[in-house]
Amino acid sequence: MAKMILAVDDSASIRQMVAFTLKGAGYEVTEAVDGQDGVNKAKSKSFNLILTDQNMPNMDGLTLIKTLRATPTYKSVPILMLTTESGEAMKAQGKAAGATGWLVKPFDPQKLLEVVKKVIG
Amino acid sequence: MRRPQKINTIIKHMAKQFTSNSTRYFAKAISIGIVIGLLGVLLEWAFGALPQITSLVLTIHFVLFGAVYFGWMMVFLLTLRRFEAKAAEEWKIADGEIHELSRRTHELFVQLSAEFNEQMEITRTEVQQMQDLLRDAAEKLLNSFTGMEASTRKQQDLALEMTSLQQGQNGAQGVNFESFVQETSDTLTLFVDSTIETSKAGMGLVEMMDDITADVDKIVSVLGEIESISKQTNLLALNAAIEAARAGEAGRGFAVVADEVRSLSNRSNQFSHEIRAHMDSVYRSVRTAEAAINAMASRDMNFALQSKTKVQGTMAEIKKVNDRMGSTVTDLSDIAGEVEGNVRMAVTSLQFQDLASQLLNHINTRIANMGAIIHSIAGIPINDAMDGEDNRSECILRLQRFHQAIDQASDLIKQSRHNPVSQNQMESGDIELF
Repeated sequence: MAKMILAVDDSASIRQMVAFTLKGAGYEVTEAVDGQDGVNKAKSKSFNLILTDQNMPNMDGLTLIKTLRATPTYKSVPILMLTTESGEAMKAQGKAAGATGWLVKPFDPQKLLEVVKKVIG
Repeated sequence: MRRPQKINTIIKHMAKQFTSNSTRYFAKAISIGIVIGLLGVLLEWAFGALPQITSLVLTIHFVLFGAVYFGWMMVFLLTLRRFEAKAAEEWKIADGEIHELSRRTHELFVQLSAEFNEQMEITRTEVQQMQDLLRDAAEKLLNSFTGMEASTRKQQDLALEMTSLQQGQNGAQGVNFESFVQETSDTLTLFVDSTIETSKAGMGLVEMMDDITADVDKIVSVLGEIESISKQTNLLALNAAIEAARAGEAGRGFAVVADEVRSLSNRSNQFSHEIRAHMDSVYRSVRTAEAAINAMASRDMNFALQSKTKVQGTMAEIKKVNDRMGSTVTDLSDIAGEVEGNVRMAVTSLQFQDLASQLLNHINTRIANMGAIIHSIAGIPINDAMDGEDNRSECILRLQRFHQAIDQASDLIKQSRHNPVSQNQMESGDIELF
């Protein structure tokens, strides 16, 4: 059975590109339009990996990570941040919130796949 | 404390002080004069030390000094009061001007705020329009690129399928094109060889037909001999019959034999004719067959040889096509790989839309903050009901509010100071696993 990935981003084109890249490699991808939508979808289904943006309306990526890390289901599920933010301070916040890794946009589809494979196989 | 009144108050205070001081000094001078007078009287009475006139002079001096000082003070006070009245009048004019300037400045800020709001709304709409355009373009480009990649993959799959079919790698239903070509070539060669053999056999038959014709000619020639013998036998039988008739009764038996011989001669001649007729028929048939075999052998041989050459040429072409097909499939595979790489790069580059969109949002926030500052400044209340004397205080109050508005706005500005996008190029970003 294909592994399930939740892609959270307020940019439709980024969601489209992430889905295109990951679906091409055989993963099943669900899209969420912001942090709140991401939390709702993550709670309704069990995902193997969550890929989230930082700056989003309603709820940002760091809050999403903190919220999900507080639930038993997502205590140890890999959560990768995919964002334009590249500052060390922000990365440190992500690490403290429980992010598994930090990917700075724009992403190279092949590198994204390599990271995803490394994290969830 | 009402600050605009300060100078007036100072002037009044100064006037009051001068009045008070001059009164005090006047009183002091008078008192000192009286004390000196009394002291002179007392000293004269006790010791006769000072002449009475000296005491009187000193007393008059101090009294006069006090009076002059008082006079000067009064003059100065009057001058000060006039100055106060003039200053009050000037301040009243200045107050009016300040009020007017303040009102105009306020109006200017209100107008500027309205103008800025309008421009801000237009900018926001245009930024939104740009974001929509970018989003739409990026989506379409992405669809186009992904579609292109899908088509290339399909093309590659088809090429591979064609190759596998060609190589017979697709199970029992697969056809090995190369072996098919080889088999066809072999079959055609076999067919051509067989045809050539047939042609050669036909040539042999033609030769045999010639032999048969020669034999028929010989038979016909022998038949001529037979007919000649038959004619001579008939003639001999006729002579024997004549001789038998001439012998009479004695030759009767000989005459019967002569008739039989003549009859045999006629039958022999008749057979010979029949045989000749059959042999003629055989001769014609053999000739016809010979001509037919000759034509067939000759024609088939040329056709077969041409076909063989053509088949060999075609096979060489097919082999070339086959080889070319193999290299084309490899080329297609390489091209598919290149397209995949280019699409990957396109996917990376197309993310400019997200980066640009975030930057535009940030610009929008900055513009909105600038608008908020101007709006808060324009929103500082103005008190038109105040009289002229309060306008300076009102101005100072407004300046304080102006500062407060800027302080509040600076918090907003601090919030919008962080730019979420630091990238200057579309190179793929760093990856860090914690």
